[in-house]
Amino acid sequence: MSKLSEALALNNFAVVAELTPPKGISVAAMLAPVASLKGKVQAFSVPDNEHARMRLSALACCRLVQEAGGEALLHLACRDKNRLALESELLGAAALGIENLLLVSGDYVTLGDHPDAKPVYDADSVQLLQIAGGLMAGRDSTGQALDGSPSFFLGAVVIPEAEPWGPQLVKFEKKLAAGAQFFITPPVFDLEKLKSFRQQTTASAAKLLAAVKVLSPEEAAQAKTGEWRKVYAIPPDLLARFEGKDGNDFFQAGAELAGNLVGRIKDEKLADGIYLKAEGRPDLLGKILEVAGMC
Amino acid sequence: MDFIPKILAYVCTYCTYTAADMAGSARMQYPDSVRIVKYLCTGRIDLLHILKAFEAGADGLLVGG
Amino acid sequence: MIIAERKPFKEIAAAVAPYDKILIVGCGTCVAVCLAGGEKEVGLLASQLKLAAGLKHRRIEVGEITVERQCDLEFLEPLCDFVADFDAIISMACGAGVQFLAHMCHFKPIFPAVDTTFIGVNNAVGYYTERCRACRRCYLGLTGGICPVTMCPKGLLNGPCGGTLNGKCEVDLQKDCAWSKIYQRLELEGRLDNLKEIVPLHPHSRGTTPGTVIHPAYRRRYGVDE
Repeated sequence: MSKLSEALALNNFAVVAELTPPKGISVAAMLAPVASLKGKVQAFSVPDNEHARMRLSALACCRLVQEAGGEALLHLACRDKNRLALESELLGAAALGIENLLLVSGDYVTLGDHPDAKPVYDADSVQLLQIAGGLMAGRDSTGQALDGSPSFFLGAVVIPEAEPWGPQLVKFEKKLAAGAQFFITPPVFDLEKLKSFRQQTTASAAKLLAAVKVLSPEEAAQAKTGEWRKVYAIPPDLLARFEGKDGNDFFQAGAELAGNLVGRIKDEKLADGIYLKAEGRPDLLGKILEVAGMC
Repeated sequence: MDFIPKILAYVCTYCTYTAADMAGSARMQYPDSVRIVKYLCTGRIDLLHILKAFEAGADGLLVGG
Repeated sequence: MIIAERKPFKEIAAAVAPYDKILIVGCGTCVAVCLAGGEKEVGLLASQLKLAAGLKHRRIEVGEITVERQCDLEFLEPLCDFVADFDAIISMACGAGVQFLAHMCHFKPIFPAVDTTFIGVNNAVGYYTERCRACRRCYLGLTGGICPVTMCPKGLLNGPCGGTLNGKCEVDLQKDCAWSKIYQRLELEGRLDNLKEIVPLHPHSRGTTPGTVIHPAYRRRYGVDE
């Protein structure tokens, strides 16, 4: 049983910190938070070519995280692999001792840095959850028996702020039916929306990790000019906190805000844990926890 | 020797051609390197007609309608 | 129908540059409707080629012919004799037509004049949109007549991805999210239960190329597989 699933099962407020795999093979910066935070977080999460931008293999990064003494959470995107590759990657993860999974469709290739690549999407995220569930039961997706079956802690994404909500709910319920044991949200800034999502879905047994991110100056600028193209919104009063700040001040304010949000999510029981993102500033992950009074 | 361009004029029978007629009755002249092709309406002109004109050796084309 | 776009003139001209007698074969069906390779476009291309050659002080002979359908043996066969007088063929049909013509006319270099784009519909003269990926397993009955394989860039079978934004697609915010549309449609029809069951993995083996379909009546009559 992974530390993450254990913490969630005991209703301990879980913390997952996201790492950023390098574009290249210099892994020291990516692994720095593992050394500093491994006592404070349950798992380090490794995205799989996030935003369709080519990076070091998530599976390899997860292995490095483990070697550095952390527990890993592997993302697996349907975009880049057909069912053979997905299944063998899952078995590979299990063989390396990786249990925590986040199974996603993956942002479309034309949005990333290899726009001419062939998009795969042989399985969708629901089908991938089923595949992983099948492997745990000792069968591959065609029903053939496995020699030794893996054990996983299956995660999926849910979009509490999705508009329209109906289709998202269809997907959420299918993911539950396909065996998702925990869900991760996109970054949350508007806690009211998280609250209403939480109220609607209390019946589900799956755990919820709310993502909290350190806002970057670029994102704040986009949000201000209305060029925002994200599935989560930033309330204007939160945006106002960044007024007149730049450089390090901006990031400090971002970490402060993230810490406040984490504190409120924990106190108001809006989620069973949090998922921290601080792209480009992994040094701020610790500060978020400090502000939230969690270390 | 000066270059005298061969111009093809695609004209509408109701307006431009009538105007050309009037000009003629007023003894106004135009160069003999201009050849007139009368259309019932210049709306009939097709891209292909224009290309064919150049294929046939026209140097320029005037559409009047 | 099949939608195609005419290739840039430069590309076509470069391909047939070595030849003096060129036959342009148009197709009177799909590519004629989408204004890419019908009789009219054959004429335009012929004219363009002759003018371009003239500018280089070359004289070329360009033949023009348009058949009803280049993807149909019945219409293509009579063409075979006609081809003999030319050094090269330009086909303005979709990829299927080009290949069928190539198959019929041995030893003649053949060049496509269009890029075949997709199976789509004619919304208005000049405005065509894709509707079908010919995936050999139709889901339209389940999804309210809106194809998840085609209309969702990811071809997701079990609901929208996380990127959909106000009912629009993450890939192109001008376009509707297929799954928002499917949901709306099924909701209006009172058929949302269609979306409860998880759709299993798509049977890609059916789509192994090149595909063959033999009508049962043909099989009965000729007792052959091809």
